[in-house]
Amino acid sequence: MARQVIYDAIIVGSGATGGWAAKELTQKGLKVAVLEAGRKLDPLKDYTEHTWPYELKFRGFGDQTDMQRTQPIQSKCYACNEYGRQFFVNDLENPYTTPPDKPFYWIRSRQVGGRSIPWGRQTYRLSNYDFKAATHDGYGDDWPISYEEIAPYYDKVEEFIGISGSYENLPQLPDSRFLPPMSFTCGEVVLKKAVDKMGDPHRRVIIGRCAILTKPIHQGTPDARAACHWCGHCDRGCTTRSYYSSPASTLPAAARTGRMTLIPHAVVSNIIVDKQTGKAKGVHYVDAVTRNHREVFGKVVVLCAGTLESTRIMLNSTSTLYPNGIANSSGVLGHYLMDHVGGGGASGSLPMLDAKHLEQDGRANGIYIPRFRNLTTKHGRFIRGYGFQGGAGQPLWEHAKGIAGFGSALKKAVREYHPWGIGLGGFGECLARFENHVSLDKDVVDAWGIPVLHIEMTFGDNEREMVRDMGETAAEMLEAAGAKDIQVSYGPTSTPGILIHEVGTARMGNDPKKSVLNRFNQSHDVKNLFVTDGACYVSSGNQNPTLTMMAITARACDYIAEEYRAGRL
Amino acid sequence: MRNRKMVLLIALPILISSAVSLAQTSAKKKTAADASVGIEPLRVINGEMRGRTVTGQFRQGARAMDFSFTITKADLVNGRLHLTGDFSLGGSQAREKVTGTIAGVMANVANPWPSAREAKKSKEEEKRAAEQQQGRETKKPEATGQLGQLAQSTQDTARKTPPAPGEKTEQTQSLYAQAEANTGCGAIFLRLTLPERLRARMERVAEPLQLGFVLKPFDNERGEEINRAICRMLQTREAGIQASSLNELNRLLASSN
Repeated sequence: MARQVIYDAIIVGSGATGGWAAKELTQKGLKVAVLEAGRKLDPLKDYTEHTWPYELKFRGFGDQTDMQRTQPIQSKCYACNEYGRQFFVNDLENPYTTPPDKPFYWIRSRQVGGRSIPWGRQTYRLSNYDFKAATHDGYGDDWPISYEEIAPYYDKVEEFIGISGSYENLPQLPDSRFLPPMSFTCGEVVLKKAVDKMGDPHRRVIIGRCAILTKPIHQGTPDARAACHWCGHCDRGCTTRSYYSSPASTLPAAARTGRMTLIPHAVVSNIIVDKQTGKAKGVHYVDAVTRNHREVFGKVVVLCAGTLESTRIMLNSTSTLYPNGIANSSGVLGHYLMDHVGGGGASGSLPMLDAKHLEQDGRANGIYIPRFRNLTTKHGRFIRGYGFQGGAGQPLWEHAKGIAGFGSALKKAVREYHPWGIGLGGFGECLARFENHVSLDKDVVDAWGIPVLHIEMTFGDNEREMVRDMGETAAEMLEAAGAKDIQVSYGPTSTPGILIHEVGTARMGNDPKKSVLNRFNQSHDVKNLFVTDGACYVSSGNQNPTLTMMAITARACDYIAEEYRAGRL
Repeated sequence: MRNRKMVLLIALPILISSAVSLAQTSAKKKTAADASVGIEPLRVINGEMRGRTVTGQFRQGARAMDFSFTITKADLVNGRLHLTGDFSLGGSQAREKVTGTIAGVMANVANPWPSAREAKKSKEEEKRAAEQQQGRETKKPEATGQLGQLAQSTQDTARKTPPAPGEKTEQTQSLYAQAEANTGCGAIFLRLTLPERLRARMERVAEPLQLGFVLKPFDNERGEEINRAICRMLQTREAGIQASSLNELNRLLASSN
């Protein structure tokens, strides 16, 4: 009989945060098992960033019939198309439920690397306007940590994964440790100059900050990665490892320690609890291929399965000790679900720019306008704020639809005319509300027999007003830039979930009666259980969340290693 | 120079794959800790509904098996909607009467591609088109909501004009379509209680068995009507509305092929 292995730590999930937990804990000497629900990808077969439309059966448009049959929700994501649908789940095998009139789009990846394969790579720090938002405007709760406490971990993550961007010294958007920034396009320079002249000191057009390498990093070390070669389709994978994904960066670093065991196809259903101590002693999972129920044991459990999946696992971990799910003595587990709100923005054309010369370099980035509302003044209609993401560029061929003619003259016109367009889309903070929540739906199961989540979330008046303001300010900036044919959207709001920034449901806090996790992402109730993904968020901020999740994970892992060595877990 | 390029061409894939496989090699060392504690039976089958019939395929090990479930009757039992129909396996003519309870739904927009035969625009669509032509307001929140993400993460900013909120692009097609229609029951999950004979033929199947289904997207007007009627019943608790919706649902089922 094989001797049972008991790991120092079990990490559930191998995406952005799981990769960081694996790297940090193994490098600190812990022996870990990383459980991943999906398969291992083969970049040379699965990544398609260099695939041409003519190499695909449906020329990049995808088999819509099959996508509607198997991925009706996933196909709403920008990256779930004929090039990249292999990175997303089958919705009927991985279902969830909602009220019939309250859609929530849960975009999910199950593979080694998780959503770090097709993610957008936009990386922005939160500031104390976010961590201490309640102190600033009186709504909700502050995070139990401050910017100053997490800043060293932002540094650590950024230095390892590589973030390109420009130093701006903005209090609402602290600078990262940057690689050289990418360049603006001509159209973006026009916008930037116009916005600078508008006289609002907080309103700034900056280049997007993203986890894409503008120069090689860690040269001469095993962590070396090549600079971006500007093929321009990062959401389809990156065979040169020039953007951050866990299989390209943190997981290899963890593997090199010899202390990581990666278990793919492990669909975790629940945490196993020691009835004597009440502590977690392992996890139960179903092998996605063989359908075998299996168990793996460890002294610490770290959930990095993604905001909603981690909470699902905890809600499904019921026992006589924890009848409402593990780590849920507060009754807060599953509550305060948030996603950024979109739906407001504007687009137009820039006829003053030369349309004859095509300026394109496959830049894998856009522009960013950081939050400028409710910083030093108060907006009358809503609290918190939003940022804009967007860009200006020229079409390669799409404009052909608007050009009259046929034959060689048409082709010539299409080749010689590339009109400039510009667009801004808002990403706004969603207020944390108890009633936006997930619970376990015991009537519906996934393909492995595990109860699914029932998700109930709607945006409120604050988000609706914010979206309206997005339209107004975006139009105002485009008008200032001299844009023409401006189209504006003042709403309605985006469907919750579709911006793929879902956070909350296992919030951090100092009060065990009002929160699930303490300031080190440790369960108040079960001291050897940690949750370090987006579930821990207290408020959503308006910045893309993955960088913060990684920094929080690195911070929590420092604490885990220290407590583990001291025998306190 | 040519030799150096050749070396690079050969070395690059090796370097790439070795770096990635490094993270994966440890997976081969199967742990002795993950002890097997049983095998999960078949709990879920999935299909697509056209008209009143759900068809699909499921796998038991290496074996793939087709099934169909034709809904013939709807009932309200203790406030829950039950659907009864004929279940058949493997294209067989033999049918078993099976009843299922609606266990849950996943809300989504209604079919973004209604009948391909219907070229005529609805009044609502015409109104929307006119509104957009007049100027500034568009009604494509999802497209706009993801405009920033598109610009940032599809890397097409330098290759394409960032799409206008109302403009349909390769990436925004499904989002665009979504804003055109109303929210409804995108996927429906039924809990089926199977007769013993059927269970025996399906082998190692859980009780109850879950049937999940979506609407077939094209040319499926009757399927859409049935789906809408089911969804209406789930959206209300009011007895009067439920009774009239139930009548309507049964009428649709009875008049379907």
